[in-house]
Amino acid sequence: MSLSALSSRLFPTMRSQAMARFAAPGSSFARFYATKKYTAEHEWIEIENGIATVGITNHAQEALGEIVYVEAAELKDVEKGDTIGSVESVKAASDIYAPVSGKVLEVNTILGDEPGLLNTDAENSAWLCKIQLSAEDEIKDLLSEDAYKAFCEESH
Amino acid sequence: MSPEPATSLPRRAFGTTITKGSTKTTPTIEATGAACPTIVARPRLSPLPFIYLRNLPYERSSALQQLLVDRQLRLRKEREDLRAQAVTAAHGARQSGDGENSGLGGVTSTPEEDGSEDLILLVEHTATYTNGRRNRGAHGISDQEALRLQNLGAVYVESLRGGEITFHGPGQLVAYPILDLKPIKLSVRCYVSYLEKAIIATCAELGIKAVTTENTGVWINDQKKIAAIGVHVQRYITSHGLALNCNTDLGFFNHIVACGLTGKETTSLSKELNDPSVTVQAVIPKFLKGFGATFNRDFVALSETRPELEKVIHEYVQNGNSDKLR
Repeated sequence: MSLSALSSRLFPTMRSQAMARFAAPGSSFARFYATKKYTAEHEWIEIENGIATVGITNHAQEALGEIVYVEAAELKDVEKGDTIGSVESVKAASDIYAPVSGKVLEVNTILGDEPGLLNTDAENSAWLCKIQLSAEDEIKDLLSEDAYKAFCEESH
Repeated sequence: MSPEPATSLPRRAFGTTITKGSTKTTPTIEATGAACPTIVARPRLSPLPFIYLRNLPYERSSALQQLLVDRQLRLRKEREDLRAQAVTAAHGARQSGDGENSGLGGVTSTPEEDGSEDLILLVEHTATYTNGRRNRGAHGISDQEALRLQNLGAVYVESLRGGEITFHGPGQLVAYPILDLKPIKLSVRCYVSYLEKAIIATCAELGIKAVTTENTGVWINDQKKIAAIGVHVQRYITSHGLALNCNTDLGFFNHIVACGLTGKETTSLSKELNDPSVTVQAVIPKFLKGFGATFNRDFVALSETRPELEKVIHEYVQNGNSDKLR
């Protein structure tokens, strides 16, 4: 789902609020803004000092079932929406998409040995990768926790 | 990620029973089916078009599926943009004060997601060993091992599906449903479970009792596997799927540890029925019935409902020209 279409459909005011929040010229949003955001592709993203930590949501791991393999992202530049690896649950490989553009700096190597960590701690220690943002204005397209919850309920 | 349309059904950790104060792992007979809906939602879904492709090389079928997935995603995006425009237009009309009637009408008349671009490829491959996503590249088999398999008269291909090594070839019905999981509100886990149910229903049509075990796929008993599953999901659109042995040359399975499970054997419908005439073409009507009943959906030949798309697919299969699929 196109995030901009989604946000304008569900939350017509979200964009302007986000713009206002980040509009101050030269302000470093990261210093006062480490809140968790979400995508319609069931990823979470936490931004600090211009670096986004990315993972899949608890809701996602429940829907996937027992996760047996995590294909890590490559350490390279990615565009928002690019495939950055996959997670495999019971015989099904589901692609993961970059929620923001930037450079993949690091992947969580623990998941290579312990993919099941995604089933028990998806939104904390089972993070997937860290991306250095190249286009900070993309943050406005991400969903707040409330918006993500509403999205999940709407899909039901 | 496209794991699922949300569900409020009771959840439990896969394969585990949560008891107060402790977590105990217990084997489950139904490895994937816990807490899946008992019937697939059917919001005005049109009949599912099917097309049968014989002697299809595996790699071309993979490329064809990716083209069809990309096509679905492109068409979905166009519909979403249309809906967003309708919302904006309705909003504008209300703002300007002349939208009493046009406002919401414009929104509700925009088509919802209804799986109308779904289809299913029914395929009989040329002899191929394929490996799953986790066994590719550096994690793959050695060159010597690949050569050994090729010397058996098959090709060896790495795939983007889930699961591990298996064999496809003549006499095996391979079904690749290209489905949008959103309208039918199935999670990835439940989709795999429904594929198993569809195969079991197909076997029942032929008088064979098949079951699920703790290992995904469909089995005659704990030892004998009759159908394998391996799926790829991209933004809720499925590809790859299932492989049901009809009168497959089972000798090809003796050279691999199918799906990474040691000590198991592979069987076929014709072996179980002791009837070599159980061909893929004979099984297809049974499969359509079993799959249709499981997914709560009718079938129609692609040639009847979308002859232009059928033609384009056949063209692609024959000459690799994908221009009209893009």
